[in-house]
Amino acid sequence: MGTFRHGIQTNIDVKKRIPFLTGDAVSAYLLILPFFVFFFLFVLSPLLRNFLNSFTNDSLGVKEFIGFRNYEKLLRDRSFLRSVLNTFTFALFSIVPLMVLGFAAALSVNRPKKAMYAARAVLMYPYVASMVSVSMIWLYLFDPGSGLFNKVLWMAGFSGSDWLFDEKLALPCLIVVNVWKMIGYVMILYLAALQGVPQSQYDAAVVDGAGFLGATWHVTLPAIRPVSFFLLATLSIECFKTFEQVRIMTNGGPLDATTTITHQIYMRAFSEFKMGYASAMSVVLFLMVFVVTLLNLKFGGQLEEDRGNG
Amino acid sequence: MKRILTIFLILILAFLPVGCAQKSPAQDITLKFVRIGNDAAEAEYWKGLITRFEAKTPGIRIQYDDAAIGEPMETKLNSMFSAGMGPDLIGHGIMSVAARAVAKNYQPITKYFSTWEGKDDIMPSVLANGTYNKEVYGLAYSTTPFVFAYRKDLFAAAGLDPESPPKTWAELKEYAEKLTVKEGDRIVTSGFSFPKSAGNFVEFDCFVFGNGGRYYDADGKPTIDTPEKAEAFRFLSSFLNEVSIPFSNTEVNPFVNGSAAMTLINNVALTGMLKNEEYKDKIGIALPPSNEGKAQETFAGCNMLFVGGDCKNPDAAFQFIAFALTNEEVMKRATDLNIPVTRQSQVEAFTALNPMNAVRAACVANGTGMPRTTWAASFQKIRNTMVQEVLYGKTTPEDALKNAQQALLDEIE
Amino acid sequence: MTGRVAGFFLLMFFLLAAGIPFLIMLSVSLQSMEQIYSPSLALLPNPVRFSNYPDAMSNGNWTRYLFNSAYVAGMSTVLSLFINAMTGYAFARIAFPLKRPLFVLILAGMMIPPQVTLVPLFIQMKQFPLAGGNNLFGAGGTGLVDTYAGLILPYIAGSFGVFMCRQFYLMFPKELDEAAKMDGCGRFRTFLSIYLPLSAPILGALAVLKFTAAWNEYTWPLVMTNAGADTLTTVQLALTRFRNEGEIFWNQLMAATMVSSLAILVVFLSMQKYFVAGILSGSVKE
Repeated sequence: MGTFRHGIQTNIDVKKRIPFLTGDAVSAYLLILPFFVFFFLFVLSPLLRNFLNSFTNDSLGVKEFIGFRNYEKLLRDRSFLRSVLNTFTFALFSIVPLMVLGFAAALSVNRPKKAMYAARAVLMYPYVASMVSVSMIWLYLFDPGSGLFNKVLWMAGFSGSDWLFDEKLALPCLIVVNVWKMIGYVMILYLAALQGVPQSQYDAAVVDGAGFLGATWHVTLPAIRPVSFFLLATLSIECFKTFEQVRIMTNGGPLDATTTITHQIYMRAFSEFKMGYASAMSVVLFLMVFVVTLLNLKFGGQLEEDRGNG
Repeated sequence: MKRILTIFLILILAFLPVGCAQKSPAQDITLKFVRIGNDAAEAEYWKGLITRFEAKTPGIRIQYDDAAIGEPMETKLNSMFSAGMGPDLIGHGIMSVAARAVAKNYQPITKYFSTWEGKDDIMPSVLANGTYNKEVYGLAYSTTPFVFAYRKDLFAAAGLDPESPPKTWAELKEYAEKLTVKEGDRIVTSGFSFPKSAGNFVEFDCFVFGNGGRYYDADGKPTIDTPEKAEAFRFLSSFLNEVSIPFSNTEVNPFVNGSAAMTLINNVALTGMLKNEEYKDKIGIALPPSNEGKAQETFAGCNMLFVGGDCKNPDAAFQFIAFALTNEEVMKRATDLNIPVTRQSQVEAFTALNPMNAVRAACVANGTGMPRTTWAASFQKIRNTMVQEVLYGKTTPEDALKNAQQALLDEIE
Repeated sequence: MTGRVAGFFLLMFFLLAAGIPFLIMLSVSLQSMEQIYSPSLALLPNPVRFSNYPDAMSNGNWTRYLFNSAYVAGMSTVLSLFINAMTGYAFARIAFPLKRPLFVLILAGMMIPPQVTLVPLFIQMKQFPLAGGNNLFGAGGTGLVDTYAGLILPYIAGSFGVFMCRQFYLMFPKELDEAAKMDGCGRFRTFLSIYLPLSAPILGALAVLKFTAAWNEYTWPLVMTNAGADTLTTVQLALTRFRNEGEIFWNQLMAATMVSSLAILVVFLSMQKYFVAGILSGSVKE
């Protein structure tokens, strides 16, 4: 990193106008400076405070340094351990269908027709509607007594299900809601990415006798790789932070079957006021997401993509 | 694009200062008031009360705000107190008393209370809710008792007397089984609707209290593992699955949409049903049934006014509390919002307002709230887990109670 | 041909999956509470009650709530787009010392759940120097609490947009920079006059995502606005007012939700032409 070899040329150009600039590096720093000012103030410093907080027993009116006690307690906290398992299950079973379905949705509306404008808006609706109202609709659909799903099952002659009140079904139900809700997000980014795939490459593939699927596989997918990895990384982060639908739809139940790490953090912090303990949980969550994201990027070669460009 | 940018720039200049320019006249005392619960009807009542108070008490202004029940309220209070800008007046529930008194978020108002005109009139059970370590912290402005509600029309259809709801557990079980209507495996009408998950499982507490049980002793030590709770569990497990449709008490009780014959429910949750033409004459309320030979008791929550720990003008703040608890305001809440009265001298007038009010007042008088201890929040979580473990058949009542007692002791340590 | 048919059925599947809950919401928003509570939960409103909409909108000052939300979401979107794109460009195309650790730091910013940074961030806002009666050291006044700035500023710091712009710029051909360099363009000029004009699809998509996130935010406005009197109340805060301790006013809640989500759909429809523009006008970068 930090090669100035190519930078020298630009150097000279810039220097003509602003004499104190020396090198590409400086212009890069200037470009990223405004962002980092905000980032430091509103993200990094609260993050740092949170980290320090995780070594205290911060709760209503008290705050003392207690070393690693919070972390030791985490290892014995059954609800927390269950939430780790749930979070991984939730993330894994959300991300794979999301990537596939979201891409399919983008392809299915990626046509220059007027009707597609409306279709795209409908597909986006679940994503733009707030989680609170969306969860309420799904609560109604899943309701064991009067919900639509059970009514349909009864009409077809089956016996109904307890859905969100069934220990085994509750988490899968939440995953379905999550996939349904997030498809719009994957779709919109793939749509934007598809605009960057040169038509000439498609034409070449078609000349070579590749069908639609062949062209998609050989041309589209490689061309939009950076966005796929962006989606993979951000979806992992989002799924690991899943909270809102858990709070509204099941509140972690039945019996911790759907509690997630963030849900545990929230309950500990704002229902039981154990801020210090909640901070320790969030540090653990942070480390897990961090490792997953780095693996994502490393595996996708996304940290190295700038080679030969400096 | 440029035009949009220009418009936005103008908007920035025009509106950024709005938020900052909210200083009130320098001479007046301004008190910040944050209240739990944000439904429209109550918010409107409180805004009206503030107008009446400000008209009567020049020099004191009240800045009103509210937050939804549960974590939103706690989130808001905790942020404000951590930044040293806690509200002067707080409207909050029983669970907050001990924890926030110890954290000095609330200041004692005993000295103001002892000279207050209404001090001997306030119901003892209600006054106890706001008292901690012999100091008065909060005075109740509303009570939210759980009532036993039942459908008179369904009683008649099942051959039961619509005017005599069950008084004992044995009757409750017998009636529930008679009232349940099934189509194959499917429960069409639930005989007795009891939640399967809950934000706060107070429906179980009704059965504990109705069997003479309590959750803590006079010293504030938890006493979860006692035989009367095991008995309540065994009773509930013996029939609930056959008569109840699963629901969570943070959502709508099936009783409210007409698919249950009996339930335990928050008094205010019945308001909509009682206004509904289809149901309003078919609903009866009563004290919850109790175990043979035990008194009929219930759960009753309560919201109180507190003076914040950061408040610089506790005198002015107490003036507002006293105003909110005057006879006129208490009666106005009873008339406008169906809130049971908290002063003994008004029970008679309250009962005269509405035939159901006698039962509501009895529920307040025989009601117990959440523990007034610093561990109330942990208790809520552990009690919820315990009830679910038994209702889902994961453990025996005895083991669940033992584990819960241990878990709570661990948390307190 | 089979591909066409398969594509059609795929589209229908997505439309149904996304559309049915939407239609239920619409239907409930037009029903009376009596119908919602009646034992036979009907799918179609009968009678159709359009009055739920004006009723919901008169529960508080909804013009003000909609304006507040639009202002906060709009401002944070506009302000953050430019900064994000600029930063993303630097990370995608320029080599500089500490680039990789700084990028990882940006990613790390996305990984902490907002619940735990809420209170520290609030304290920071209250102690913001020289605002809301504060002195240079952030003491004395209320800082940025109860101001639009306090609501908007934290959204600008989001790492998401930077990461997204970087990933999209990685797909741009490198010849763009080389050509610019030949012409004697500096880095900022290259970004401004070459990258930015080609960024319409990215920024259009990012604008929708940013606007949606800010519009749907609940906890931060809840904590940041304490002045009451509805001055700074946002739509999401107001939406929680359609229930009390035991009752949810479904019809009005859904009516208000429809209005709230329509606002975002308007943004989506107006941005759509940017990120699907390529289809109509041929590829952007040929």
